[in-house]
This record gives sequence, structure tokens and C-alpha cells, in this order.
Amino acid sequence: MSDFNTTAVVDAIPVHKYKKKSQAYVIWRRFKRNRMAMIGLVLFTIMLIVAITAPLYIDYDKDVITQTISMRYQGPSLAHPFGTDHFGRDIMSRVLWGARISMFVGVGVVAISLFIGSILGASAGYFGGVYDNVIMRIMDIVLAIPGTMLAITIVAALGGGIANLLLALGIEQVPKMTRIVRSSVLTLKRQDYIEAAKACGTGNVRIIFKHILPNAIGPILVQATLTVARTIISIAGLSFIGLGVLPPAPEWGAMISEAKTQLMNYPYLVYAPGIAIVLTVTSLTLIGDGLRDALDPKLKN
Amino acid sequence: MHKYVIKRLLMLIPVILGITFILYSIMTLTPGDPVRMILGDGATDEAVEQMREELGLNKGFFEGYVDYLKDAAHGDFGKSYRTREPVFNEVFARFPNTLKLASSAIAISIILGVLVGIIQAVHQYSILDNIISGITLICTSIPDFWFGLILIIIFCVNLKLLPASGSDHWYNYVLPAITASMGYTAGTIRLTRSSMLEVIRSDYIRTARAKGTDERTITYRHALKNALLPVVTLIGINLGWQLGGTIIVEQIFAIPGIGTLMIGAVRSKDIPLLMASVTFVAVLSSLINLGTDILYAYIDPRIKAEYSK
Repeated sequence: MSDFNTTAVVDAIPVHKYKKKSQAYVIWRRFKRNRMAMIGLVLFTIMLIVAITAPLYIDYDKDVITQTISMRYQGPSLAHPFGTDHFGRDIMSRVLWGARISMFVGVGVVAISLFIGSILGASAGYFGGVYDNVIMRIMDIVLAIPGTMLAITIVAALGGGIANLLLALGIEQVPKMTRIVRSSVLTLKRQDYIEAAKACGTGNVRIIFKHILPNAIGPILVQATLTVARTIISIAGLSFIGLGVLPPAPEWGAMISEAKTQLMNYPYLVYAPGIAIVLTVTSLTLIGDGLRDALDPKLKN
Repeated sequence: MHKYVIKRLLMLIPVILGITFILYSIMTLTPGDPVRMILGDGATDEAVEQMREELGLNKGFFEGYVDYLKDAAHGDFGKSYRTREPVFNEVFARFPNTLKLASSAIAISIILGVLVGIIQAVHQYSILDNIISGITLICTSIPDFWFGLILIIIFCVNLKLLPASGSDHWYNYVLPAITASMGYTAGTIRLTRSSMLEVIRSDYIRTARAKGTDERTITYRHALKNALLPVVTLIGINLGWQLGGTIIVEQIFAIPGIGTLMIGAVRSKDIPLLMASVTFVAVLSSLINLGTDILYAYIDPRIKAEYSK
């Protein structure tokens, strides 16, 4: 009799409840419930699609950089929703193409700083001791230089252009990435499963890259998202003072800088690229904040 | 406490060495000859060689750096390549403009940031709270140079109320200060709000309520004191950042501050001038951060106890 009851109880519990949900799925469910974060994600996805598909409906040579002086300073109209600039180029095409540049450099900077920062931070946190101290003091020194100044110095010394911009902003971000990775590694390395991996004779490099870093991905991802957002502003700022992407490439900051000279007569030139920056950065910030809350619900107030 | 301060001051030495070395390497190892830039392309080789000698540029990489440090240790930070004046003359001539801009921006961010943050926390989840949250979010995403241009369009072009450039009168600083303060104000609002919310939930506030203290006294006398602690740190960090971060704002409003000086120095490869201005700002912001930490210990006895351990 008692046997029968037990079986019935076990049967009554649906089997799928025992299926282990992956952590990523749990985090995604929490993320989905956050309305602001989802707005950010949708907005960013749309802009990403626009940036990727831009070559399908915009011809770079014809629409973006060809100068038609007879068409200059046309106010917003149906043919040119945001008007045309001082060379008669369609501002809408330039703003849409600009998304490609900003997002490419933004993601590139994070990739560079994350690559260097992960190696430095993970090794510093894992090995500790003198090595850790030396690495972190060097990072402190780099952090003591005001970020914009460091980036300006590097770009000015090497010259403008996307490659140098990537390098300059990447170096600026390395210390922050190193710190984040290091602190995650410090908490993880004392866990039992790392001890177990060591006992199995797993090599240090393998432990760092296969066992520690994948588990530290959360805070790194949050930092990476927010860094892309900050970097997009930095790129625009450097281009604005003439030390970033070289003309005639339609970078948003460079477009604002060109519009600056005609502020008195044609203020409309300034609006579109600026709004593009604000939308991109806001959407990334929303995603970053949403990710942080989804990863650690306790932090949310 | 003294020990801690001395340790922090000693940490400045490697920071200064590191910064000067990083800048020196970047400037000397990259293409572009400062002498050719000063003399122009038409200069003869003899003239270039003579000027190299004069500016001390004919030394090797390490020799040049060690000589710079030796002179710096004796208080001689070199002369600007262009003006031939001691570099700090120029730095100190420009610094007051940057200081005026940075401190007025910080003042705006403190007053506005703390006030709005408190209002938001007191009315948590109200419509007002949500609207302000939205605005602060967008404010952190607006590039300062764009915001500055929008302000110029509104106040200079359309309303003709304020000048767009210059640095002689106080009203020249109104727009630059608002521009520079925007991001920091948004940060201060967010931190004040979350820190207030945390404090309001603590037991001693509940006790005060139970005693029948009125809400206003609780907010401003009991809660605010503790809630402002993290805000003080943020303000210190912000001031440090501001001194080095007003570069772009100075550019928009044509303010002759440290930022404009630095960009000029970078463009003309004026190595001593660049090293002096960047090091000056970096050391100053480190000192401000240290000052904030000391101040922090004085307003929070718990922290002071931590230091004296």
C-alpha cells in the first residue's frame, strides 16, 4: 500500500520540472521581465540591422561621400529627410552609414581591451603575489592619466584613422577590464571545483581559460556592454576635435564638428548625428543595466 | 591615519614616473619631428641640427628621459619648444580658467544632483521619479560636445542671451559649466537616489518614525547625513576627472584652459609642455582623491577607525 502511494506521488510531479534549466536561460527570463532592458535590446537590434544592411540600399561612393555643391544646405525634405550638408551630401545616408563606423569601433575597442584585460587580469588574479602587484600598479598608473588625455595623446602621435583610434581607446580601457576580470578570478579561484581541477593535474592555463573565465563572464559582459556605449561617445568626441576618424568618412562626431561651423545659419545639421549617438548609447546602457540586474537580482533596488 | 596619508603620497612617485615615461615614449617613438614642425619644411639641415642641439633632442631615448627626470628633480621641467618659456608658466597661466569651469560645473552637479536625488527617493515609484530617471538616463548618454552645441543654438543663436565663446566675464562660463556638469549631475542624482533609498530602509529611520518624528526631519536630519557619504566620494572623483575632462568643452566654447593647452602641445609635439600639463592634472586629481578620502574619514568615524587599525 505504501509503495503504491509513493509511486503515485512521484508520478503526479511533472517530469519536466526536473529538467535542469541552463543558467543563461534563467538570466534571459529575468532580463525579459525588465521592460526598459527589452526596449534597449529591441532598439539596439534595429540599429544593428540597419548598420549591417546599410550597403544594400546605400551606395557609399554615390550617396555618402560624393559632393554635389548645387545641392548644399537643403533643409529637411522628402528626398532628404534630414537635409543635406555643406557638400550637398544626404545627411540621412551619412548618419545610417555612421552607425557602421561607430559600432565597429565600439565593439573593436571592447574586443581589444577585453583580450588584453582578460590575459592580464586573469593571470594577475590567479597567480597573485609580486606578479599581481606589478600588473595592478601599472594599471593604477595608466588609470591616473585622465582617459581623454591619454587617448588624444596616442591618436595625435600616431595620426587619425580607425586603426589608431581602436588602439588608443583600447589602451584607455585596458585597466578597467583588467580590474573587473581580476576581481572575478579572485572570488572564483578559491572555489572547490578549481581545487578539484588542480587535483586532477589540470594545467594553469587550461584552468584559467576553461574553468575560471567562462564562469566570470557575467560581470565582464555587463562591463563590455557599458564600455561599447562609453566608447561610442569617446570616438565621436575625438572625431569632433579632429583627432578621430578621417574625412570624408561619415562618423557622427565628425559630422557634428563639420556642422559646428554653420551653427548660426543651418542649425539643423547638428541634430541627426547627435540623436543617433544618444539613441545608440541609451540602448546599450539599458541593455547593460538590465544584464546587471538579471545577473544579480539582489543588487536591484 | 598619518601612515595611510604618507603611503598614499608616496604612491604618487611611481605615478609621476609612469605618466612621464608613458608620454615620453609615445611622443618620441612615433613619427613626426617637432623641430621640422617649428621650422617648417623649407629649413636647412644645419638649422634643424642646431635646433635639435638647443632643445636637447639629439640624445638617445633613455638618456633623454633620464636627463628630463634629473632636471625635474631640481624643479626644472623644461621649456616649451614654441614659446621658450618655462612650461609651468604657461600651465599656471591657463589653469585658473580650467579651475573656474570645473569647480562651477561641480557646484551645479552637487546642488542639482543632491536635491533632485532626494526628491526622487522621497517619492519613489511616483510619475515624477520615473520621468526624472528617464531624463538622467538620457543625460548620461548625451555627448557633452553635442549638448554644448544645442545650448549654443538655444541661448546664443535663438534667444541671444549668452555669448558662445570667451573667458573674461562670469557669464562666459554659464553655458560651458552647464555643459560640463550634465553627465556628472546625472551621476550624482542616480547615486543620491539609490543611497537615500538604502538608508531610508534602515532600522534607525524606522525608530525615528516610531517616535513620531515628522518626515521632513527624518529626511533631512536623519537620513541625508548617512546617505551623502558615498556622494562625497563621487564628488571628489568627479572633481578630479573634471580637471582633466573639460578638454572638449574648452574646445567648443574656446576657453583657454589646460585642455586647449594640451591639445596644442600634442599637435605641435611640444613634449615638455605636454608632460607638464598632463602630469600636473594627474597629480592634482590624485591629491583631490586623497583629500576626499581624508574628508570621508572625518565625517564617518567608522572609516577613521578602519584607517587607524
